[in-house]
Amino acid sequence: MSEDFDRWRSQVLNTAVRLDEIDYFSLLGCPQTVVPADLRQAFRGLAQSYHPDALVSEDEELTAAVEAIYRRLTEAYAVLRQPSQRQAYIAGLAQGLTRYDPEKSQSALKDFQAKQAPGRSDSGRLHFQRAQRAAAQGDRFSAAAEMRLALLYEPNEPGFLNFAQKLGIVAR
Amino acid sequence: MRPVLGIDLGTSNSVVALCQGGKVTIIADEEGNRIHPSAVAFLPDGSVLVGAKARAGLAQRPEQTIISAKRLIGRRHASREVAQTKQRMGYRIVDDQGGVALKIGGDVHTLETISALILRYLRDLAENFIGHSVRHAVITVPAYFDDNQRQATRRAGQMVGLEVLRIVNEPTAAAFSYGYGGKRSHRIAVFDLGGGTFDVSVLELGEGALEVLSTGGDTFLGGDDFDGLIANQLAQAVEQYTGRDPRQDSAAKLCLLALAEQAKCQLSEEESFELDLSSIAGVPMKTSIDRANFEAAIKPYIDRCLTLCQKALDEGLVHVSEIDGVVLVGGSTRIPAVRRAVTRFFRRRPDEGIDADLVVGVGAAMYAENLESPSTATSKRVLLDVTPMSLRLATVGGFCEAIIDHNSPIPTERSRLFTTARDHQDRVSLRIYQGEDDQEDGNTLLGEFVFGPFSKALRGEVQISVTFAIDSDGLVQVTARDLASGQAAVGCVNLGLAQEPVQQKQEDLPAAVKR
Repeated sequence: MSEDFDRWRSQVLNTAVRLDEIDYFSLLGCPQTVVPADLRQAFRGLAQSYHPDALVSEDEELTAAVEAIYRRLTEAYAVLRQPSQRQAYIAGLAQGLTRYDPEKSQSALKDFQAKQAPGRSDSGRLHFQRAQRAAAQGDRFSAAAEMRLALLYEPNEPGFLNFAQKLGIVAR
Repeated sequence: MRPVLGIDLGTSNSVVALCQGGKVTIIADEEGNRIHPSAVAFLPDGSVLVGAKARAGLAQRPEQTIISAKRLIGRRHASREVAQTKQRMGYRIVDDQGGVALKIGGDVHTLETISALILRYLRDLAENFIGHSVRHAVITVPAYFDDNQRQATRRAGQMVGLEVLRIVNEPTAAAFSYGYGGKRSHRIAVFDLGGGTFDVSVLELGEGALEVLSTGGDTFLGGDDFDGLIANQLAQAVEQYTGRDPRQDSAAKLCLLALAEQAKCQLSEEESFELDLSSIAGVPMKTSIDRANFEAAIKPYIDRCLTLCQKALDEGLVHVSEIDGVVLVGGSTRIPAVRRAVTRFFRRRPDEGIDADLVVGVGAAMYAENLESPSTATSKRVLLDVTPMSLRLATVGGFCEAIIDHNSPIPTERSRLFTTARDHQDRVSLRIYQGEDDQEDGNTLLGEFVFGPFSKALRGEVQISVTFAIDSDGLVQVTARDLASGQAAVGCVNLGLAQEPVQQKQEDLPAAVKR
């Protein structure tokens, strides 16, 4: 019993020290695709051991470590349960950000989305994105104009051609 | 196990209870009352009365009897709430370096002192009951109490030598007192309409855990508002009859409020209530109020409560059909119109179990025992509470940004990286708020946190990591660290209000007398 406790204690202390290296998913033991119900279950399960109420101990080092872990658990849970923040967090994580940072994580998400967009040249992508925006607003004239510009830069880009077909400015 | 009191320090009334081996005892005074008025009276001879005896003398000593002090604790003197409270109290409310103090005769008392006197009275009752001294307590506060109000409550405990193990939200404590749980998880709503405040919480009670899904409320909506409505109607009636507004006189004003409260309570039992206003009007005068009239007058308040209930459900992602139980807390939930509205809204009858006036105190005592029970105990439950208000940081141009969103589970923390805006800038100042508005003005200022001086450098070169934390009591702490030098500073942020050393205050506490 006490051997188990000692092992647990040293694990907890070790985790608390390395907290900044651990990402939210590893901390909660969930995959990136975890659904809200499972996320809550995971958080609640861990809360049973790491909530400040759970541990009644005179061991100040251990208490402090448990509290530090719990504060990070609540942070992870609060971020991951919001889809927009979770997406940004995942994008930021790919750049090595283990904690959610409103500015950096959101800008990582923007970078990621930009890279996902078709096109290899900055100018081609720029006009393609403008064409998409214009089309979304119902302005087919501007959309077609922007799309023609995009095709000037990359005439054979499949993503560009696909969208140009939808706009009806190139033949299928 | 050391005894830990559960204390419901209410706006109008307080309850003190002790839970031992799962059995809760609500502690009574010598007369056998288990509900103790949150009243303090300062007598001309320098002695102090607390509880029922203080409340009984309210009509004779309106200027020396403090009631509803909880409405003022931790508030700024300039706030709307203080202005509103001033109008309906007989005692004098004065500015104390931006905060609020009370001037009674030649003496000035802080609100912490008033709360401390009540806490000491409750502790003494408990000590008489147990037969030895008690040093620890769990104290409840409205979920919507901000950091200033929580800090002030904690300081009041310290002033009388009570170590406050935890500050718990009232609705959460109420939920704790109910025997839900077991294998199946239950979702319940706690509807808490007291004298001064309204709180609603949506909770899920499962095995080993009690999770607050969301919470909402209004710190200035309660039974006192209903009293005020009736008192105004009565005053108008008197004015029409005699041509003189009785509200000019503070004693008459309080007398009207007392009559109004009596009428309100009676109207929960009877269809109409007859009042004798002769003493206020100065001529023989009788009038009556009927229930329908009263219910029509309070309807806007009830509607506001229901709007807040819907908001809490939406934020907890719970549909009203998923609610398994409704718990009523606070004396104002005895009003039939309130019960009907709650029943209709939640599509179920509220649970009848523990008295609505006692349920918070009972829950606080049960939570206190739970807190002290060893980690291995099978009955051990953890309380997963949330912060009811967003923690915000002022940015530029009067705007402020949410650092920790409301309804985030606590304790928690968030870190942000800041840099300097000017060359050789050697300090940064952060203004911290609580509230839901993007504009600074729409929130409560908790305080200003100044970090520095740190080593000077060109602008943008210094990196300051700031951590904002909310602990289990809902208290806010800010820590700043200069990443280059490692220099660090920690601060609580209630720098906005004047604070005096607790030790010194403890000696200043006037002696209470028993009569």
